[in-house]
Amino acid sequence: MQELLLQTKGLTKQFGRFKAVNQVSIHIKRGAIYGFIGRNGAGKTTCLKMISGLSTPSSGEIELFGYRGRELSQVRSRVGCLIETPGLYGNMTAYENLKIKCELFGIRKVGYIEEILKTVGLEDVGKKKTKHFSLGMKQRLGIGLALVGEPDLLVLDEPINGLDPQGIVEVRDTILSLKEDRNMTILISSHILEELSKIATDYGIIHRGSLLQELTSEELMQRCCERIEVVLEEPKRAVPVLDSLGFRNYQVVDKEHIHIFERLNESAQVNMALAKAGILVKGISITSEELETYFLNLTGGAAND
Amino acid sequence: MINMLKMDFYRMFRTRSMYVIWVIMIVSIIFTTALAAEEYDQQEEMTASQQEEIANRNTSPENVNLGMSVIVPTEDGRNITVFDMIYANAQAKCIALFLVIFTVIFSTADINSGYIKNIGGQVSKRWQLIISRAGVLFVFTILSLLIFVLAQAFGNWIFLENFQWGDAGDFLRYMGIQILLHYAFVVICMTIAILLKNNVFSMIIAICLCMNVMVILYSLVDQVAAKLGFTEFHLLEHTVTGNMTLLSMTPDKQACLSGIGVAVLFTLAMALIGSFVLEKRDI
Repeated sequence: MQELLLQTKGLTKQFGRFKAVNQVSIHIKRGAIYGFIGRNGAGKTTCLKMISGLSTPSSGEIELFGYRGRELSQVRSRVGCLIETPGLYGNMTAYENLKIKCELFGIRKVGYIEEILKTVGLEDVGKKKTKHFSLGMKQRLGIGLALVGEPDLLVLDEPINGLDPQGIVEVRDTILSLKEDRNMTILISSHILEELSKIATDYGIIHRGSLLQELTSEELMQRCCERIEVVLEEPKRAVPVLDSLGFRNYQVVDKEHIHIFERLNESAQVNMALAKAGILVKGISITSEELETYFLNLTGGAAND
Repeated sequence: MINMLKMDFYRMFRTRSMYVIWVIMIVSIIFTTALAAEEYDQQEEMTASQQEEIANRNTSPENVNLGMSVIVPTEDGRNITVFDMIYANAQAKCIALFLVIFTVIFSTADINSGYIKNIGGQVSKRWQLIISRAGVLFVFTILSLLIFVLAQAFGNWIFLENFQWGDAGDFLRYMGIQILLHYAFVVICMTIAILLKNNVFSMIIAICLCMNVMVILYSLVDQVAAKLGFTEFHLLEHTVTGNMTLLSMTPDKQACLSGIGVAVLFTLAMALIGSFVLEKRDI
């Protein structure tokens, strides 16, 4: 199993009687881009704040790089974050904003700030004050600030929120290059599923403060992709039949369903083989699910809004 | 901690409002010196007893007035020295007013801009951010008071005849204690700003403190104390703003110790409160 860089156990944050985050246990592998999906107000930001050390959990535990409890303070500097809107001094330039953080980290390396500006595509902003930046530029500078000190884990909260399509592409490219060039582990939250699906390798779905599901990109695609869906009474009995037909990519989902992800034009043969084996097929269809629909079904549908 | 100080120094020297405040302070000092010089010419006609009465009325703990009044302590027939003017301005908390305006802006800049989110989670001991801030504000206080002294000296040189510094020993002793008291006041305002996270309210409170608004409360406490038998108790004497006002130009040992004690105590207590709050509070 791949090494876990971050895991939480029963992470909870309570404001009065309201539990903003309730018993969340997430697991993030080293080098992963972990997409944290949830609607507005689901508890994503609160969760990320606790992971970033900006907020104290009411209960539960965070384990980062193998450190937990009081030891966490030793590795906090290895977590860079951009939570909510980027926090910038509007009357200063991008360089000065980065310089302030470099001073905190004791970074004196010549050209370091220029390199970060280049990484986030802001090398040409010159002496422009950040208050005159577009939202996309601010977001990228926010990511740049999170990169100061070469963090191993980058926490990005809704980094594409409010951006125009061009801005979204720029931020997405920046994130992908960080993963590829620096092998950084990235925890990124969003409610824009289509965008997350373009970069994430793992997902955690949070709803009303609780983590509903954790799955890899492959698992999610499998659950959403086109497939033969067979409804029958005893799926276990169907397994040898499917094996004899040469099917390899299928999944027994529950007590009534089998999903077959290959040779989608052979549903009739499947039906016949199962019938010959004496297995009663209640239904067989070719179906698929949008990522959005999958998410909505999981979180109780649009009616829950 | 050293890196935090470097960060805050970098931030402070790149905060434009600091320079704006210094410029306004210099201009107002020179302007008030010009006014004082004019008034002094008129006052020369007054009797020495009248002046003494005014001076006494404004420095006894029972009679600290609301608002800001600058009384030059120069006796009749003598030249106004730089020390006289500095005493008058410091006592009236004119300089403190400039200091606290910047303090509030500087202390909450990272909280209001959200910049603290970039660093708050990555520092192992968040309370050190307050200590660092307080350290930088100490340098700001010293620099501001130095600029104040130089501006005052320049004003005296321009507008008053017979330029004189005043007694050097008394001046240094007085300034030393006033630096500590002004710094304590700065730390109080820093903590208020951090607690409230609101520039407007923090600044109103800071200005009200400069304007002696709290004397209303102090007098109530004094009355209660008097009813309990502590007739000689004056709360004002145990406050930072009270000591700033009551400190005489030639303080005796008791007054020096009282001023230093109050300044140190308030500085430590407020820095401690600020540190505790920032450490425990969610960002």
